[in-house]
Amino acid sequence: MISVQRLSKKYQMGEENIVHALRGIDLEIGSGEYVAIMGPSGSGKSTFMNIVGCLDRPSEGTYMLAGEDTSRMSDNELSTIRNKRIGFIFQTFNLLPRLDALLNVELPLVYRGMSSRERRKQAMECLERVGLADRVRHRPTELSGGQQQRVAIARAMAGSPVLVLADEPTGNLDSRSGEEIMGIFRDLNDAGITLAVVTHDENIARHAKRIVRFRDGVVVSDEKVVSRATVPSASGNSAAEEASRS
Amino acid sequence: MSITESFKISITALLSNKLRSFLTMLGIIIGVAAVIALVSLGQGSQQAVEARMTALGTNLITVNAPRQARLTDKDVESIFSRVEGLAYESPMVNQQVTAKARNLTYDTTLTGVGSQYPEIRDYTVQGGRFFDDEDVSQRRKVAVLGNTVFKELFNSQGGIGETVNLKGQTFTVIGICGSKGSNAGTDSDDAIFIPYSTAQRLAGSRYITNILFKAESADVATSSADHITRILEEKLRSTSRLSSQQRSNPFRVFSQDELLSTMSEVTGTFTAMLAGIAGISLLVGGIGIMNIMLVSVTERTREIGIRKAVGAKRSDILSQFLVEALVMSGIGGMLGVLTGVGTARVLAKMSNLTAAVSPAAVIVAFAFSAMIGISFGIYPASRASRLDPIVALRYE
Repeated sequence: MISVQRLSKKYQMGEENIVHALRGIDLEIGSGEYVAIMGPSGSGKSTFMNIVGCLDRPSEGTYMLAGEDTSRMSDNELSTIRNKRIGFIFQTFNLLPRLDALLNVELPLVYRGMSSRERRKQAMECLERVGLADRVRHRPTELSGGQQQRVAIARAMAGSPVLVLADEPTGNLDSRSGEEIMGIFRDLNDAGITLAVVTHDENIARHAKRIVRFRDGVVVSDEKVVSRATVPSASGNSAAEEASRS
Repeated sequence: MSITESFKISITALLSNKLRSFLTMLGIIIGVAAVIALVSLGQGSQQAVEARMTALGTNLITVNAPRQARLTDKDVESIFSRVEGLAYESPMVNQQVTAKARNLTYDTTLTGVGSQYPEIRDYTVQGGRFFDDEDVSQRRKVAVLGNTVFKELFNSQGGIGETVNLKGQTFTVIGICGSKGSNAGTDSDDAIFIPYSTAQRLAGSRYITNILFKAESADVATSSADHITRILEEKLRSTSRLSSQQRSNPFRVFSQDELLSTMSEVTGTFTAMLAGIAGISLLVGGIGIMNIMLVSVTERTREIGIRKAVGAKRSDILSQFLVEALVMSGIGGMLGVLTGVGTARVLAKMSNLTAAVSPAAVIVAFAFSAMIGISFGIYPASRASRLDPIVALRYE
């Protein structure tokens, strides 16, 4: 799925100050994997995610996504890749505040030129999967943090991506909402979606099948998770939980 | 992304900030309204001037000669017989008088003319008769009153056969003209007509400085006017009493047709100038759009980042913001057209101006506002589209 070779990224900061965010990363992530990427801040994990997510380009090295070399793609081709192959989940949710949950989830489909009826149907299905079928007309400000992140997950899912990337998805949430998010991630992975989650929380990382650790722009360890954390599946009971809480 | 989608997005964005959108549009509304109102009024007065000039008779030829040229009625007759295409002639001697009749006095213009004058200027005689060639040759003290004078001196009663005192001389009223109305601000009925020969005697001069001709048609008026000029110049060469300035430009011969085109040109220039001034306010409105679009792009940097992250192409972002500017200038333009037409109508009603709302002006003003939307929207839109998604997503 993802094949990265000798990947490096340099930033020019001021006149003669070059920051090496990534210094030659070699990494393979197979289809259906669930990888946690860990490391202290400044270790290059977010830069790596941005490149893998086709939001940024490497300075050197190659990045193959599903057999396609992305380093030679134009901006428009990268946009199409982001739109069709990749789903993004951010720490700060990044929902559009003026749009309700449904329209936010429809957003990637808008840029595919899909008809509004089809868009609505697909977005509704995604919101049902994250247990928010009853909140589709709420704006982000009318939703809790956990609910907002679930809308963001639904948006990431809306385009039926092969790869979902999450950058500190539980960073702004309480532990209970975080658990819910991890439950949804497990369901996604069980459904065959490749997942990569950046986190610095060991408890979150233990939900993944594999942990890759970064430090100073290089991979320092890459190991399988022996005892995975278990969470209840998100589908089916989360709406009931929601109701019992309120 | 389809264009309808761009429209939906931009309308949502504009509605989320109603006051700001409206104030921005106001610049365009005022600009377009000003262009349309001023051009309508300009064209209205142009049409009004043309209508008045046409009412004067487009086949009228006026000759102004210096006194030193010593033109007499013999010259008038010789011109009339030599120049082709002339239907009527009349010398004209104007002076200001205080007319007295019954116990009333009235200040008016004493116009000494020939017997063909009513045909030239389309006066009708509502009572009595106009003076004839014999009255002229005999220098009879007979007067024909303009309708206003008749009203002022005789209270519109009787008049014919009564006397009127002009410059110490007693004239007999033989006719009253029908009302002709005012023309280009002057009341055509505010005059007393007497034979030009009598008027010459009153003024103490044998010479004629003004001659009116009526050509057979407007088509021949210009060529007849040229012929008259040549004859007058020929006569001038045989006299040498002119100063050098008079010699260089001794006569003014113009047909109404020429005058009409000159006037149209003047009012046309005037209209264009008004449109230009109004156009500047439209330009300022455009700068307002650009300003607010730049603010809006900065404010929505994060939104742009999000849209790019989920797959918006550069062209999608460009069209989103461009359509937003276009919607603003387009709606502003439409409201401006309505306001402009309304303003022109109201102004025309309140003053004595005429408004002629030409579809061309409306289309041009609207197209111009749309163009302004595009040209002032393209820079902010392209700035938005070039934003780096990562930088945009990190923007607070």
